[in-house]
Amino acid sequence: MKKITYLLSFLLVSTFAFAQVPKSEVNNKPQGHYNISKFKQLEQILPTANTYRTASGAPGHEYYQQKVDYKMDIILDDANQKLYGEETITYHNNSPDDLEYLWVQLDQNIRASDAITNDIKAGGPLTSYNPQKFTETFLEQPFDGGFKLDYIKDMEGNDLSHIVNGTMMRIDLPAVLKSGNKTSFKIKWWYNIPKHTIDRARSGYEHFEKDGNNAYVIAQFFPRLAVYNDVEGWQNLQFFGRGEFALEFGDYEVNITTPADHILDGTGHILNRKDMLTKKQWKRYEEAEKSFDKPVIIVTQEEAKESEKSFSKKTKTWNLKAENVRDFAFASSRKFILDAQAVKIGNKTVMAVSLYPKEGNPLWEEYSTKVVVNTLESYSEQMFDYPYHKAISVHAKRQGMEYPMICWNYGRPKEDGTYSERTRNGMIGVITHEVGHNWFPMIINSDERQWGWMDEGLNTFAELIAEQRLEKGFPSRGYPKGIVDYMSGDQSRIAPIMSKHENVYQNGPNAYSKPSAGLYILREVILGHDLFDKAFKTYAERWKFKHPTPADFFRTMEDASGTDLDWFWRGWFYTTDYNDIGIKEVKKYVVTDKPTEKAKAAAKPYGVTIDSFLPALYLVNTDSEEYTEDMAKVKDPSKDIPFLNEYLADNFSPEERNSLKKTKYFYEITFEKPGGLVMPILVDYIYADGTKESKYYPAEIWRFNDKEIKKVFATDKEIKEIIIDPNQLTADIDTSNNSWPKKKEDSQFDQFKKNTIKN
Amino acid sequence: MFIPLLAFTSHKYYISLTKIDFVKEEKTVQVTMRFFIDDIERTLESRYQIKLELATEEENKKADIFLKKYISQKFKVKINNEFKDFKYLGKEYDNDVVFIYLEISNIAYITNIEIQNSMLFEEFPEQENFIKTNINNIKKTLILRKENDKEMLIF
Repeated sequence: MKKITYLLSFLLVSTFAFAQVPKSEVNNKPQGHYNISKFKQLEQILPTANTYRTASGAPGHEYYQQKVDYKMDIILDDANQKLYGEETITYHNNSPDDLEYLWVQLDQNIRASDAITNDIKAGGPLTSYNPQKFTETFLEQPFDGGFKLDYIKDMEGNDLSHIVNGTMMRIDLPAVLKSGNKTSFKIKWWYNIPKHTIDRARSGYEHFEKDGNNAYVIAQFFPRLAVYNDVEGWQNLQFFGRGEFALEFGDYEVNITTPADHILDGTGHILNRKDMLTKKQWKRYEEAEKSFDKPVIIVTQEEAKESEKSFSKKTKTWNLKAENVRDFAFASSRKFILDAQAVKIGNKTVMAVSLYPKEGNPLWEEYSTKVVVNTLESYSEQMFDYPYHKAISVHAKRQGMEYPMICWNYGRPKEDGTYSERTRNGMIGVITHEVGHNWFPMIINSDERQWGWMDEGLNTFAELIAEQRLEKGFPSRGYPKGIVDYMSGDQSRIAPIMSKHENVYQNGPNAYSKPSAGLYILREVILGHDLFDKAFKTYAERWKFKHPTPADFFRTMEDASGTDLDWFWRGWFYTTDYNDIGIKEVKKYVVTDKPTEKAKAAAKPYGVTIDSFLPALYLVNTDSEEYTEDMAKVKDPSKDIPFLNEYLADNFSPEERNSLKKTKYFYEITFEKPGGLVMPILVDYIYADGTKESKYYPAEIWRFNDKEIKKVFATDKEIKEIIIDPNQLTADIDTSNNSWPKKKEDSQFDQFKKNTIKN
Repeated sequence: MFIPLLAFTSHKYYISLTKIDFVKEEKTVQVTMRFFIDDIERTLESRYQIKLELATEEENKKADIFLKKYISQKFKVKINNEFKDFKYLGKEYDNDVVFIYLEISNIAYITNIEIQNSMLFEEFPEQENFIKTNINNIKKTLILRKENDKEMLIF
């Protein structure tokens, strides 16, 4: 009996489908097409998996990376703002390939007077020039920056043939470097240190007029090897200024000679720290190593102020040693105050350190180390335990730049020591961000030159989590609603996230906030915390101390969450599509046992009337002509419609009947999607009694129709209001179509005007 | 790297947003401008050699006067081929952002509108001033840059 019913209703449904094909289409048949579904797999875009990188997104069984060790002697000439260096580089060829030459990065050459970075800047004259800008642009001789190379020699002292190409240099090896072998060579160089305060060079010095001192934040200060790997071969993108660095891991032994009254800290262990500090300071340092609740000031403001006056002609040499780092940087000045605190990370003690001139106080003494501690703890929870022994935050005007174990951060109070909330928040944000870079890209070592978003975007997301851990409600960036203006902007000025770093129009949203907002949506809307957090951790674990690519990230997130996210990567990362979902129409229905005209028509092709079918239930739109007042009398279909009542009695026990839903209101909701992105629909149904029901329709609801879908929603309560994405979690660029009935909301302008009139 | 120069939150780029809505029933054009506080503060401070301290307890009491003066120098609207004066209604803050509200009244219809916005260009050569208009139920986005600080829309 039941079987027949089902068979007939199946026939009825398929008849509907058939009847819907318009005749004109049969005559004018459209051409075929490639797969244009937004849910098309990414296979054609992602590189083919291989033995170096697996299809699951993990390193493959033949994954390799090169190793490069540096031994350097550096002299910081404070009087003339020059840096002199001599280094021995040992290159380990772990690749399966034999190498004829090595490529070396000369990043300082971006400041050379003939640097190509100036030549690729296009644009007409400014509307106006202030005198400083005019002088810089048209009058001044360019700064004489860039590496001055004294020699490049092999270990026997023979000159090595080489050619400089902008910010890179090829060294031709006398003999092919066989796979599995290593080679060593020496470079001697010097350069003029730029003022980083002028053009935001990522390193340099700030001059303090009042006391005549300089504070140095030094990085990209030595010729270092470019990456050679299975993805790019030799990295061959010049340093134009935006696309940052791609570097190999290795071990460093660095001796840095500074004026005797300088305080220095940098990447790695300071082997002779005890000799570098006074007895008192050393004692305080030992206290700091045991102080887990607050920072201990090791070099005090008073001591720093004394040093400011000394301008020592003597020098001292700091011995630093770092293992398994991808870069090296240091900061040095006689102005520096130093404080530190111990942090428990797993079963290890890590030192959180801050280095700042008195100009940073009182802000820095109060917040810097505290923020470093929070970042170390939060990022260790999110990704993996911080593997190094310290993390230093250095105060530098207008800076925000990251290196292994050390970073430069802004946040300077006014001269009278007061500071605004914005300065404080800015400082907390930048320290969290830069210390966080220890994970992305210092350890999870993506290629920054190629993909800015892989470190900046992932890091902006982790930063948001860390900031909220420190202060709930902190004005973090990187939320979906923060990217709405960008995504709704002029399409000719927007690039997909998956664009080369140098080629994006608006670096901030492109590399920072949009990827972060995407991850936020994945975590809060699509995957949920448990699946997302595990997948994100898995990516971090798999690729720590390695070189991941975008595909490794996309694949791991899918692999570890057990979720096909190709549609999300495609839309959010590979296109500039935006999200806009709205409610187009809501129809109310009542249920009846009287066959509708549509049903009668469907029966016709079988040569029978609708009476030949078993009795059925029909939904009638209350706005249609077929709707009668009789139909409104059906309050509870399961009781008021006799054959349904009988069917329930025959097939369900009294207990089962009691547990059935009391459905009596039927709605057909038409969701429209003016936006090109596919996105889950988050809907709040608000009932007449004030209660609400939140529904989640996965993105796949759009798989057969990218523009418009209908959904039937049946309930025992009348719906008063429907709202899409009530908490602004999906970066919907136009919320004027997000509610039913349509709400006329006061614009921001009207609200302001009303409030000002009131006051 | 952290992109912001001085400011915070989403400020990794030099951008301002001006919304221009024509409310026909009220015969008014509503202008809502959004700037990063640090950008506009730095520009006005260097231009007028003043201290503004926007959004702090020590905010310069003449801040609105300077803002109004600056806007009238750098922001010009021509409607139906005629320059229009606007009323400066005031400003409000949200984190690192300032909203400024202007109103142009007695506009019965709009057949064309020319918008010039060269604010902040003198201080930030990379500045982009986005204009979003909603006029006669047509939405448009314009981007004004230093080389091209004026656009006209014809309806």
